[in-house]
Amino acid sequence: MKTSTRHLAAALCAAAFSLCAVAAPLRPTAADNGPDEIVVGAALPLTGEESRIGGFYKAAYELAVKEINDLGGVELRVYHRKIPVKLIIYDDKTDPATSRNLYERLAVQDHVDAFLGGYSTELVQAQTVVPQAHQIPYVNGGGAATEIYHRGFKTVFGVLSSIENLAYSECDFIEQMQAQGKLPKPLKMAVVWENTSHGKDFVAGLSARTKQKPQNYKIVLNEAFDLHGKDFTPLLQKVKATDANAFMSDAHLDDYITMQRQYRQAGLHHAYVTYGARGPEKAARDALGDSVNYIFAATWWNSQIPNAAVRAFDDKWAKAYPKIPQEWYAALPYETARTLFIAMTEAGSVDKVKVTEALRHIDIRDTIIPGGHIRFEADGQMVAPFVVTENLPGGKVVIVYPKSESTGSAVLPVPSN
Amino acid sequence: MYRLIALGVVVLGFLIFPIVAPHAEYELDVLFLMFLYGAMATSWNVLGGFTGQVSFGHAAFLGIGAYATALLAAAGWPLWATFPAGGLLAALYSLLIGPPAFRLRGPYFAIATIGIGEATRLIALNWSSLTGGASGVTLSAAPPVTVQYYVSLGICAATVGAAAWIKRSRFGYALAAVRSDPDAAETLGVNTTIAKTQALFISAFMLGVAGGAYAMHYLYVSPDSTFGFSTSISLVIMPIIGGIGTIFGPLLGAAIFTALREQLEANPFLAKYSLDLSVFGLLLCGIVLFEPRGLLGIFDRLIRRGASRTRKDSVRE
Repeated sequence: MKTSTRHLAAALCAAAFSLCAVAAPLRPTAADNGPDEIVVGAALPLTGEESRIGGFYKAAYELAVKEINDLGGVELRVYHRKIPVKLIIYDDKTDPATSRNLYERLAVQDHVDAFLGGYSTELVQAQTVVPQAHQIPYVNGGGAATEIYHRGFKTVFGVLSSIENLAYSECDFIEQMQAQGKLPKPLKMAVVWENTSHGKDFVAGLSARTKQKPQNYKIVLNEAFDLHGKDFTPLLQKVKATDANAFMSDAHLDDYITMQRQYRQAGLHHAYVTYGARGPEKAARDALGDSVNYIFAATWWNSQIPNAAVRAFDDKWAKAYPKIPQEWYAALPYETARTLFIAMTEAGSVDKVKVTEALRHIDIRDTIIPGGHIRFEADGQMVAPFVVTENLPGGKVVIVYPKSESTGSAVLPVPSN
Repeated sequence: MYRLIALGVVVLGFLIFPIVAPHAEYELDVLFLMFLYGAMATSWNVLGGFTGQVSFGHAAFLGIGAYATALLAAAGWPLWATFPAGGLLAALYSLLIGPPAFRLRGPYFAIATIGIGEATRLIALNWSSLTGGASGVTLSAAPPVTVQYYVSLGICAATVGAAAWIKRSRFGYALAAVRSDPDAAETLGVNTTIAKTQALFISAFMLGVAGGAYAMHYLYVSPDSTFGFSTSISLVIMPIIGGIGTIFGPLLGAAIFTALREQLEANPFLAKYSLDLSVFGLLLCGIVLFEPRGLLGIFDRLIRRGASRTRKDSVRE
């Protein structure tokens, strides 16, 4: 046999093997009595750069599913019974293309009834083309950039309020502090932002407010940086060269930790310091100790929100996962899964069109998020208030804004040592 | 003759598969990826395998093709017309980077290509007005899965056919000479810089066309997903697994790569401990250490051993 013939034969064997290996039987269904289980799937970053957060999402989804299954499952009106939920989770390795492929697999191989979303913005952007293509309802608690929801996708919903709103919430708080004389007016801001849709929204929010209220704000530096950076020293030197009195950064957790370490090493000090949605995380406190004191953050959730539902969630979480802290990375995906199950109950079936319609009109009042209210806008994204927190010495975190949720007063300006 | 018949049977099998199994969406999706990766790996192999110029920055050409398709489709071009346009843009880009890069040899060239790939990603990231920056570009709708399947099969077949023709042509022999000993090739009258630049041009064109299929399938292109270093690494891994420098090796590598990945990602035990990546690592280590000619080399060895045993038996008799 000639060499090239042998090579061709080998390639053919491999192709045949591959096809056999991936083929699997279709999911059995019982038409009259309804399905034996409701299949819900997600791809999460369980390894790679976002693995730390991916672990929170997995734990939260599993808790929500366990909770509903302990009650017998999701009540589906058309079948007059409760049906248990089966959760399928894959690891997308923090890679957008892998994430998209896994959602495709969930759609056409696992035949899911609905998707739960992944984390973070870039992965959510890549994966949301699948629910749109297959018209499968998708709810996420890990993508906040407005870009995700401005593509006209009809089955995509997100419980994270936009990053522009996050910036506005911080501005509202800053204006309150300016009125009390705790911050200078105008606040000269050095704005540094991760070069993602997330970061773009942050700087867009701050720019819009600066334009609207020039007497309150002045942007003296506006610089982007690459996600998952290792050395922010040159960027911080640019910050140092300005006369800014506020350091406004939008960063993911790993960048927040690296940047704040280098910020302190560079001897920088500002009257107001924020990393956008990052600040109170235990991982940052563990890594940096007292260097995270007096950092402000606007987040979608905090365990100190004075609300009975939040306290109940805190207890449940502590009991289920005593070693994982209660952070927004836990609360939002939990509430995401709960929202989907409520939508299925309201739809009365797992029919994809009906569940999507139920999500579009959903109105949940007893949730754990600030304001307690879940309702999606026409584009599928939710608008909800943020809570502004401040890290204090001794590992304390207080909510300083809005007044209705506050658990302490802001220490401002940031003390110089 | 046998080869042609075998090839015809297989191609026919792949051609009629969507007709006999129109609802096998998942299998069609996996085969789509297999053909796409096969085309991508074969494209890389023209430069990395035939010419011996190992590039770790080839994702740049895939990305240019993907962006070209996404942007031109958004501008109203018919999808089929965006593929050659993407290939052409990628090939033109190769003319920009090839000549300076080919002043370097061996590991220095390989290191330079990492820089080229990363620089291209950063250009895409920061040229927001054209590429959408970090937000990327979303395509409005994909053709039906069967159409995608045939497009991918067609691109794969054309790429492998072109690679086979190149390998057997005068130009292919020149590339083989460059790979074996560039100095000796020069003394034989081969202009090594031009030969390498031509190989890169062809490789980039093929990869740019494959990038169009990538965009059509994924419906979303962003700097990190298309220009990422991990994509470049995948392009190197597949020919190494299958058999670098051969015609069908990259195709075999792509088939193994796709099937293994599909199986490993879905295995809850492996996924839980992230062992799926370790399996690829072990496979790669094993091949590099024990059979640098890849799985096709192992296959050859087994066939030869079987044939020599048969010969010995017949001599004894």
